[in-house]
Amino acid sequence: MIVAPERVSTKLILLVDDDPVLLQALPEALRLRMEEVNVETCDSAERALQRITEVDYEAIVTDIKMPGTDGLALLAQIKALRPDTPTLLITGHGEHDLAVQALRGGAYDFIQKPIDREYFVASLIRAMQARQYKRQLDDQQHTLERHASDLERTIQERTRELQFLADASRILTASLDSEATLKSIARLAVPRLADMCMTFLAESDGQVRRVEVVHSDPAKEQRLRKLLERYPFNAVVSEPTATVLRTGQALLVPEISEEWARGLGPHTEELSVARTLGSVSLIIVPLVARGRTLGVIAFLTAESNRQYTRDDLALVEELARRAALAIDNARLYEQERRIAETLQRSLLPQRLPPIPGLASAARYLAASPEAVGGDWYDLFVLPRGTVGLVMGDVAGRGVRVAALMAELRSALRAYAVEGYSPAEVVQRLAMLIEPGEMATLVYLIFDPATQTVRFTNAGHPPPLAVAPDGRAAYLEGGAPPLGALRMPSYHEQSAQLWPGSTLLLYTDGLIEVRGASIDDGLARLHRAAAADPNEDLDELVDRVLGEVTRGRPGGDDIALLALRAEIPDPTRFHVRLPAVPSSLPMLRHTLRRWMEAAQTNDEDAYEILVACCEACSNVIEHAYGAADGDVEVRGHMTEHEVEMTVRDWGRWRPPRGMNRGRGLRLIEELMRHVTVTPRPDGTTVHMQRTRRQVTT
Amino acid sequence: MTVTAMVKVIERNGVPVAAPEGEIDLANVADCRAQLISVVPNTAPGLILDLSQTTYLDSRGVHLILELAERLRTSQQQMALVLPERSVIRRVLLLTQVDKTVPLCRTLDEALQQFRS
Repeated sequence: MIVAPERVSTKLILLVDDDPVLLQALPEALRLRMEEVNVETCDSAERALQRITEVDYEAIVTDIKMPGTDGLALLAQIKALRPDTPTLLITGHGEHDLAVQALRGGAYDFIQKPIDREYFVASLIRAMQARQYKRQLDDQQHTLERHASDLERTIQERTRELQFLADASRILTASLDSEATLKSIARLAVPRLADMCMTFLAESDGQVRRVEVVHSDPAKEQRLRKLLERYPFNAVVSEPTATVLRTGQALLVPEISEEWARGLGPHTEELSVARTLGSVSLIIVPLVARGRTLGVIAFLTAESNRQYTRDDLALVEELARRAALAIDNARLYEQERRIAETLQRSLLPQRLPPIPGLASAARYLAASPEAVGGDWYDLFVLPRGTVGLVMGDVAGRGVRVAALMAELRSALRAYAVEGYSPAEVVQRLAMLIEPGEMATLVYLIFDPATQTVRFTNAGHPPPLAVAPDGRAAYLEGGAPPLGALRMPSYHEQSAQLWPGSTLLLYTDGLIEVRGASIDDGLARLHRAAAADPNEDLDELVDRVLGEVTRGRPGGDDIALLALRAEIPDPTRFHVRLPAVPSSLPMLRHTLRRWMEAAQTNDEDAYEILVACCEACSNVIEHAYGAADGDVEVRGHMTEHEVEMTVRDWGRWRPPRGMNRGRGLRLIEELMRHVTVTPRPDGTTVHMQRTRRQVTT
Repeated sequence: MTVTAMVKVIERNGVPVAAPEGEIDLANVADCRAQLISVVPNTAPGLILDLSQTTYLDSRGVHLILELAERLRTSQQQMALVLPERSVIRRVLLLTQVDKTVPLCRTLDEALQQFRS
């Protein structure tokens, strides 16, 4: 950029000469030829130097030959003091050497005596213009430098902001816990963005909670917390935070003034506390996600004396936007996880149903507490005294998986109770699977009377049967998982178990241990289960879990279900059941199994069955009223005789209803010797009869 | 577990024939009763209760049969039971004198004869 030199306005020029005539004449000549020029004069270099230190002259003209300090020495001094001031030297006629010396010494020009006035003035004007140009150049240079350093500062500031946002993002994405997230944000903000920071969360019930209070000075932070303890946020809706929460609009107060604070209304407790700690400036931003205000963050300055600007607001709003998103995500995730967990927990049996003559045990090992897997199992009694066992695994995690588990479980139970065969049940379940979903499942029907299993396996690891003597075999055979084929066809397999066998059902998490093949896992399970096949089932499942996974399970959940039918003792019978109607079918199954083992003929078996169930029905109807209680049935069978007792721990009320007396009469007809012994702690019905000899 | 009683109903010569499958006991007798009462329209000559698929029946079942017979008698309708000769529940019905109140027939045809006479 070229700027025309300004018109020379009153410029000071210093003239130094020991010749009084020249000191008189030259200023006159300059005033005549130049406008707005003031000429000062000095008659010695010493005096001139004094002035030069005081005044920044536009130009200096000095004679070379002077007593004391000469012009050349003065020039050197000027160069040191005022390097930019152009200096012209006056030389005698023909003193070329001096002229050269002068130029070398940094003189702008030299004027020879006798002085050509025109030349002298022209040279002086040039010198002053040159000086002017230099000055402008310097100005421009400075402006440029200032601009550059401004830019540099802006860049550094933006870099810091970006760095801050990057740090914030790292914190925000690191945690799925909204409260922890908000706490770390507050810590991050101090002292980079604020001297004090407070964060608040609005709960789903509308309550607002102060989550974190941070101050750059730990001692003051303590004090701040102490002072704020008096004001639980949700008890006193405090301004101006409350307004930001309500409106979802950010608030910037560059300078907190008495006047502004007065305008806020009566409840400004938190602000008052902040002001006692010398707050200067504040920004409050709402945390808004999907149109809802989830909370607010308040930033305050104090010690730093910093006043917030629109730039700060923009940065803080960006931070709030990211934080709100993270909190919203965390809440959604937490919500989904809770739903999935609740669903899955509700799907797994709280405890396995007690089934007389059968022992069962189950374990569920979650791989991680956060994510809910798709493993499930079920155990139920079927109408004809058989037992249904299910072990399943829905691929994936989360709510949809838990929902599919729920669907499969209820559908399976429904079809099973309807009497469908394992293959028919699994075939029907395959219809429930939607495209993209996949589930493995094995469904077994175990008949304790015959110690046989019928089963259908849809892509699930094979169940293991272990005999009391330690022999063990996988129940092989099956078809692809549910959802793997469009038109699947499932078939039924069956197996005769060794009497008293233990059945083990499990999910792949058990046998898929990191760094080992599935075959290794299957072999380990086989070994572990066969090692002590008669041990108590609860101990067995715990030991098997430990030995197969070697204490370091893989990344998958593990479910394990074990079932064992006790071999009935043909001479003795004992069950204890809740005194409820639904216990009756189970009692009949167990009694039938026992009498079969004791080789009772059909007529005897039926009559004993009816007698026992009549006695139990009486207990159910009369012994406990609305209270809970148990009924116990014991039996003793010899070659010729059978003896049964049914007892309870209740107090009988007089029989009522329309069935009164008929049951007991029937028992007496069927059992010959019947005694009923009521005692304060319960009633015992003792029944005895001879056995018919087997005729068929 | 509670087992819902399965009552199959057909009609022969205008007579409804109800056949409960499985077991009748305290746990499901109320359900069974509700189903049986609903199968006899007022216009029907009565009810044939076919117990050939019933595998267990105790005093609650006996009471149900007697109650049904009583109700039908009141509304001038008949009732007959079908029970195969070798059925295990026969003894319970005989011991409780059900046969004195409701005719016990070996086959469905025999029971239908009761309605013609």
